[in-house]
Amino acid sequence: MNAQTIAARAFPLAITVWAALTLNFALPRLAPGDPLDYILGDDVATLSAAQRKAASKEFGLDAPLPVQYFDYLRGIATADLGNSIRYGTPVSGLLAERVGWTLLLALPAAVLSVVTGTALGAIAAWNRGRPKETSVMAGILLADAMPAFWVGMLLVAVFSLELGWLPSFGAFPAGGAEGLNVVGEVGKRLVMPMTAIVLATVGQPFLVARGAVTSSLGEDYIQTAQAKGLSTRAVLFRHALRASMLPVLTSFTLTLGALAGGVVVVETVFAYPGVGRLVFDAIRARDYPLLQGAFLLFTVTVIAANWVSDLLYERFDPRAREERE
Amino acid sequence: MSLAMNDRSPFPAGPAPRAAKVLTAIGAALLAVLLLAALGAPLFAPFDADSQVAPPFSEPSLDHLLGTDDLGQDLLSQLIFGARVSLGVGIGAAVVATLTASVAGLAAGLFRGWLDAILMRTVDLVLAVPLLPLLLVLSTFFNPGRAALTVITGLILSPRATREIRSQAIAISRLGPVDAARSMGAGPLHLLLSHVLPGALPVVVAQFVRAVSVAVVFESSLSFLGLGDPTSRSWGNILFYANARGASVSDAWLWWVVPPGLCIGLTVVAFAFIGFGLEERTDRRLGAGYWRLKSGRRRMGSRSPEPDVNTPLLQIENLTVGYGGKDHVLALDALSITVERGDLLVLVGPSGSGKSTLAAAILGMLRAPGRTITGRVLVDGFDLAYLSSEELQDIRGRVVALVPQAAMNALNPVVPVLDQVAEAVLVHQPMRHSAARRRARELLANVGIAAERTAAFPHQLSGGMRQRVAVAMAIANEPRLIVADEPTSGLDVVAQVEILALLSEIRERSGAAMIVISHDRPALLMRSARIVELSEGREVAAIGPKLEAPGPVAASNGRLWEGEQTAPGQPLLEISELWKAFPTGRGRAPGNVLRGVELCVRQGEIVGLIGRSGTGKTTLANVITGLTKPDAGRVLFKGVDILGLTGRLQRDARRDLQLVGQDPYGSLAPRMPVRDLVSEPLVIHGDPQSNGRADRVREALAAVGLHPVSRFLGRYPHELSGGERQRVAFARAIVLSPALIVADEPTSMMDADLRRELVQLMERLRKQRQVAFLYITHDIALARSICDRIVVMDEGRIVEEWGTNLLTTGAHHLATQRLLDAAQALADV
Repeated sequence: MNAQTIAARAFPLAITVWAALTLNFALPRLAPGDPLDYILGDDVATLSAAQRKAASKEFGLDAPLPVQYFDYLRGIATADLGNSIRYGTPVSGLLAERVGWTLLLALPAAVLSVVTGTALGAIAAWNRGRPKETSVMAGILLADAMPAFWVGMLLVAVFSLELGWLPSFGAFPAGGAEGLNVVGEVGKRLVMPMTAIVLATVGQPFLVARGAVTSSLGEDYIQTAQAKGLSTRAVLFRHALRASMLPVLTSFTLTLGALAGGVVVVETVFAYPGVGRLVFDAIRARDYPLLQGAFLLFTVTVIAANWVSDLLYERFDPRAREERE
Repeated sequence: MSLAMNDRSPFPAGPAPRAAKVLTAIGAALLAVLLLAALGAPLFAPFDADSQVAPPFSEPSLDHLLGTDDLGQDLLSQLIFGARVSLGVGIGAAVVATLTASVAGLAAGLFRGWLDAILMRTVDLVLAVPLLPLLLVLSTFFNPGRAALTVITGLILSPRATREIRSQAIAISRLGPVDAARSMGAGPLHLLLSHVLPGALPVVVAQFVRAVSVAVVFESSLSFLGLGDPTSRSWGNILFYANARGASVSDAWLWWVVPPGLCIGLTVVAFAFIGFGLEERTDRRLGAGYWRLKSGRRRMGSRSPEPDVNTPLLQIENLTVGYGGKDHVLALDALSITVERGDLLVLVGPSGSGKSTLAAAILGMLRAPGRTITGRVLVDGFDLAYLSSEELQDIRGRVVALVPQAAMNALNPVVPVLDQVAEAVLVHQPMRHSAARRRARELLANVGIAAERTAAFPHQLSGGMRQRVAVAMAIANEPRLIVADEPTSGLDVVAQVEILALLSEIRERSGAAMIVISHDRPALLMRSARIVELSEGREVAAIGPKLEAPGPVAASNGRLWEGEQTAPGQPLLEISELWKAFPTGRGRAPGNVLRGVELCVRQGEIVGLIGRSGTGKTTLANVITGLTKPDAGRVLFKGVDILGLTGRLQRDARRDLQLVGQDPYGSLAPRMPVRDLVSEPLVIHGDPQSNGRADRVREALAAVGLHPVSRFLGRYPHELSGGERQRVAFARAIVLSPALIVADEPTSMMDADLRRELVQLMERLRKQRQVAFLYITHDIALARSICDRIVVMDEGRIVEEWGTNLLTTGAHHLATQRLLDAAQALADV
């Protein structure tokens, strides 16, 4: 794959990012009330008319819309997402502080959920119709049905409250820790949030892989592979699953979207100091600039991950490559 | 056809998924309870949900089964009333989502073009954004009430459903029945109502069910984050207060946290189970895809004896195989066959005679619902039934190898052919990957695939080349027995001859025994072969090696050339300077498919259009019947240029021009009975009911020889044999009494007897109804038996035309000569 194709794939995604940016620009201006309300928050009510005017001028709200839009985009280019109402500091700085914690939680969760979901889905397809498969299926549908935040609350109740095995909140002990202990303490606090997120997102890859592998298994080339003398595992994973990677990777988009939603609610339950919890705080405090910044961060991350999976599936499936050309 | 497809079991391929039915029933029951609770909330709830009825934080008691919250409100009552909000938002949003998606998806899928482009770009845009965060932002800014939130949620969920419905609409409109209806002159409305909508309905329902689940979870997440409508208590709302009051870190979690979450989970599960059951039932892809090796086939007891040198390579003793359970249908009936080392056995028989079941049995690959009822298969003296799956794997490919029918889909589409051959080497000969690839390259060279094509993917190769790759895989481990299952079907005559020659050569070179399974009698191989003819699972004839050469082609069947000749009538169809190019992709055939085609068909004439696959024959048929728009050229039908016509005029012009496609399985809509299938052209062309529609259908069915007519009227395509299906297709074509029928390879998927019958049918229709035919085929022998004139197509051009008696004389175009030679080589013995 050359640089040109990579760039060509990036183009539609760049448009999506642009659309998300434009949405962010439009929201305060479309929502009921004065755009200033959404920049300064409740403080606006205490301002006199003259002060409001001065503030409007300061934020460039008196300029024509195209100029505002241009200034906004220029601000984004320099990572200027405005100031948080609640904290009074730049949104970009607040996000940067938290994003590491969220990645620490979300990346392993994404890998776990996609890998186990896909593998289980392939195995379920092979065993389709057997009682064992149906119970796995029912179990996955159940896990998929439970809201992530509720699973989180139950985990806290059982493992923190009743059993006292795991700390119920935060990402780090209040008193601090040193050396190897840090890894242990942080790890202990990751177990439950990660479990909640994986349970909530494993259904999507499972169902897609199951469907796609089931249909590949009906293809003649599976018979050919078996006639060669390949083992069951090789037939299933090297042939059936490989030929099913296209829908599996395409569904990655949806898994990522679900993951972003899961991160917000689960971090809220566990008071985990990531971007998701920041979103909750921003909603509670009606801290609009912070909420918009966090939304932008989620969107751009998801879009970037999609771009990677796009590039990947063309490696997997030559037919997709040609269809695009 | 291959093992997997042929010998269609009379039972649906999928399991009648009992487990799926159980899940659906559980889901429906759960849903009924929840809906009842929501609708009858004031009846069932013991208290008003919004007033203080007990001290705050009460523990469960007989009065308050789930205790009370921080305001002293009864939690059970809140839970019951919560069902209204949660289910209401969920179902409401799903209705919005599904309606929007159905309109957008069907419009995009049916009209394509700019509408499709705009809609799909929008869909992609929304799908790339994480939906729950988007919903959070929108709710924070706009503070929507419950109704507005329902609509917003529905709109946010619609893109995914739109995409699914659109793909289904496109998939359906690419299927044979839709093409068939279009070639009859059907407009978009007819296509939508009769074909696309019924086909898309299961997807719409599945999307609705999925949308409800997601919407319920979204609503609860939103409420949980404090963004719900504070005046209405949904389940998520209860959990928000539970979390805010620290219920999950006190004993209250049992009655405050567990029940609402359980309700949400059960709602989603109810819909998920119902959706799962619906998908299992309606997804034909899943149904057809079901297949699994019989496991646990190892019987208890002693192993077979060691083989001695004198045991035959393959012994099939008294083998009976049935499909289905107690009322099984026999595919093989007490069959016994012995193959010695180096033997060549040709197994012929019509489709459905059990040939492919036999091939599967020899490889120990019988699939459910097929099973061995009596008898045994011994390879080298080992009874396959006593071998473990590892031992079977060891035999497959090393002792017994399969050459599948590769023209279709027997090679993995996502793996380069070199790797597929190398894999076959590696299974049985541990070596380094680079060495295996080297060996694979040698093998491919042996079967005539040039080194530069070895990196290709299967779809980049022609059918003949793919079949060569399949042969290379089979010989990778020098097996002692090669089973070739329909190695030539789906290939054109020239490729057929090449593959048969290759198989002969390999047999001579390697000394392996070979079983060739075919619905034809491949003359090329039969000269030195033992021939077993199968019918209904039994051996009906065993013929020893035949030594004499096959007779001349022309004598094989049909009438004399110079004989009964109809006088040429007025020109009916005149094609001039027809050009068509398709966009090219890497590894595809060159762009120009039609390169200035000139052709004329007169009234009442049968014109044969012959040529190899890929020479543009089908494209030409599609242009004539209006399925493909050419780039340039004229198609005059009855003196009118039908390419320029649109709408009603076009439809009327096409009334007298009908198409019979090559695939009787594909071109008949599976949900329509014969009566509706045959009357569809009458419906499309608006012939009123009173005009004896039923009589015309009966008459058409009688004309194609489906007697007694009344027995066929109510049958569905899957209840008909292949030959009957193609007759129905002909009946559908003649019901409007057309002047010309374009028959595009109507016989290519049939065995020899059926082919002959259909050709006779065409002749009869011509005689009785004065229908002209443009008969497209690669089977020169068959064409010679009925056509008045034959034109040969090669690389998008008509390269040669024969009158009636020019056949044997004179020099032919190279393409013609190849076809003639191939036909000679393949001629019936």
